[in-house]
Amino acid sequence: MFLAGACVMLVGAIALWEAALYPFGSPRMIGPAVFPFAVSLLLIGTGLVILISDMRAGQDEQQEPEAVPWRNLCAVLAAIVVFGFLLERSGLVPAVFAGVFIASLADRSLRLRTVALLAVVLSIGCTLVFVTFLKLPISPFAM
Amino acid sequence: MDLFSNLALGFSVALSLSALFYCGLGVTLGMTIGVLPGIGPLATIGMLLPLTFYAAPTDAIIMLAGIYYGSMYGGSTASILLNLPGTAGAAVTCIDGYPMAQQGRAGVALFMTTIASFFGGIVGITILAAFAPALAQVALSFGSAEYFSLMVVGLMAAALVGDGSPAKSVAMVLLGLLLGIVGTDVNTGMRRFIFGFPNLSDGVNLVIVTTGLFGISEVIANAGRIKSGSVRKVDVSWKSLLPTRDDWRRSVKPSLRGVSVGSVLGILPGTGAALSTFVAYALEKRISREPERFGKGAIEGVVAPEAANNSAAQAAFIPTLSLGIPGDAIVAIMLGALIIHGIVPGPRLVVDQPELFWGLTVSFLIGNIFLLFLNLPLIGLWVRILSIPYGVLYPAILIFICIGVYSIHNSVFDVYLAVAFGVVGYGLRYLRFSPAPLLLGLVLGPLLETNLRRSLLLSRGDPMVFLERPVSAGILLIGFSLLALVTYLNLRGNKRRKSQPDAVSG
Repeated sequence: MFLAGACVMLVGAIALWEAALYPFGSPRMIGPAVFPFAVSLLLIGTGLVILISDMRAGQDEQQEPEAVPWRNLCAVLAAIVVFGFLLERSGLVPAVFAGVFIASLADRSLRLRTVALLAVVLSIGCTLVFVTFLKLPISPFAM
Repeated sequence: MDLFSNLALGFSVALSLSALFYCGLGVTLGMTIGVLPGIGPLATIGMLLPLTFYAAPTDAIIMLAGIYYGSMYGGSTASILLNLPGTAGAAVTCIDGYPMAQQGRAGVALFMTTIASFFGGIVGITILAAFAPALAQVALSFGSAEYFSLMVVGLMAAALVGDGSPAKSVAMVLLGLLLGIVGTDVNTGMRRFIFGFPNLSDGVNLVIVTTGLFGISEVIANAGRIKSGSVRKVDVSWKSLLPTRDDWRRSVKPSLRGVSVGSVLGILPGTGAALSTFVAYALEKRISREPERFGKGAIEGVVAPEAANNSAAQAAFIPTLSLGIPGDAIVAIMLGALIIHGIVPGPRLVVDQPELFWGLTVSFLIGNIFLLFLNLPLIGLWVRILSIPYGVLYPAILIFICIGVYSIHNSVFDVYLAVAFGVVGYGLRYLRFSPAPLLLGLVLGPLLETNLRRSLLLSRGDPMVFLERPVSAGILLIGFSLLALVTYLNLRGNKRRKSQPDAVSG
């Protein structure tokens, strides 16, 4: 697995590139570039250490990486994005319904009736807590 | 300032109606999410942090802390009954707790973990009350150079002593520091690392990072996989709970040793409750005269880790409240919460805000007593909570996270940012990084940079200042000795692992 070390080094390199664009200042009044620049350099170095130790560990010690649960990943992503999209446009209740239904696709054993009940309970609960009590500037149903 | 007037002040704060309410709410919530596998204290505290903006700072911290140590009590329930840890700190409890349940001794195991947890908690609180003010007194003389060194060493300790690969943990700390840089630089007003998003100019909010990295990624990893709701019928009558005389006798010394391990590891910055359970279990197994009993339902293997994680959870507040250096990732979030409430963490906190420090300390005591009563008569209730299927919980968790994150700035951008962190968090989990040290970097990053700048300004640009001041040099020496030790142990471990197969084949 070279991915872990490589990812760390890549993030470090991007941050280093960006930090180098800021002013460095003087030793006495260090500029906004110095701290991020130093951290980025350390991050690249650490990435290298991870890469080398993963390479030296060799093939036999590598555990099989777990299978990526693509279904969960997509369902959770979609649920939150749709929730965010609907929250201000259609209101809290439609957003909760859409979010719960899409999220429930991750667990195949869930029955439609359970999910519907959960959506109703959550809509009422969230409206009471967040709109009535805490007075967040969202309405249950926006037009 | 004597102890009694301080304690009296603490009681007057902690016994106020609102403090009692938040304390009770916190420990009940903590107990609940501790019992339920698939949702941990990190995600919960991140989720509820926005709601505490509406409360007074002391009440807010009392509640958040209650979630933390409450989850330490609850974590063992699922370990014992389902062989599935409710929290990371209870993973070790599975090893002997589940066999006890299979032998029909689940009630005894649950009873003894509660007693051990209570004992650990009380000892941790006593140490907190004794040491934190003294430590703060010492730290009052610290200048920015000492602070810089202390934070560097704290972050190093967090990365090096934790579980998993030290290099990967160091990478997480550094990534946290980079995330802490995002936003407007306080000294120059320059906006850094915002990559064209004006919403990022206030920085990346701690709540977004925590709920994303822990809450959302936990759901991605666990949805459809945790099959709870399959608890066998457990006998929770009073008779089945009571331990035998032999159980008591076997539990006394392991609890004492567990508490010692937990207190020491709790005080050290960066080494939290989860680690202390592993150390306590390993210690018990090593010094036991009958190590073969471990893994087959030895009560020592249940009691010691539970005493350890509760004392560690309390002791973790010592460096946090007296120095402003969080003892572990969860306390780091609470430190972030204090900062959000406008309270500057550091040694002045104990002196300037005695009602916060002593109120919190006394509330821990009250919280632990609450938990004792929540646990013993109500064990049946918690066992029933375990049968709530995860499939019903996780959509609710996601919705709460979304609304919580939205409520910080009333901004949908933050919700999208949280889901991005959720994907990053799952990616980190996939690549076997443990992202908890990242939170320490994120919270300490801005403080670290400020103290670096201030030190260099005062020393007229001479970086030797960190070595010339004796306290700062001493702190750095400890840190780098630790680094050298861990590097040496790792290299030796690798060599040993390499040489072993040769020895077998040759």
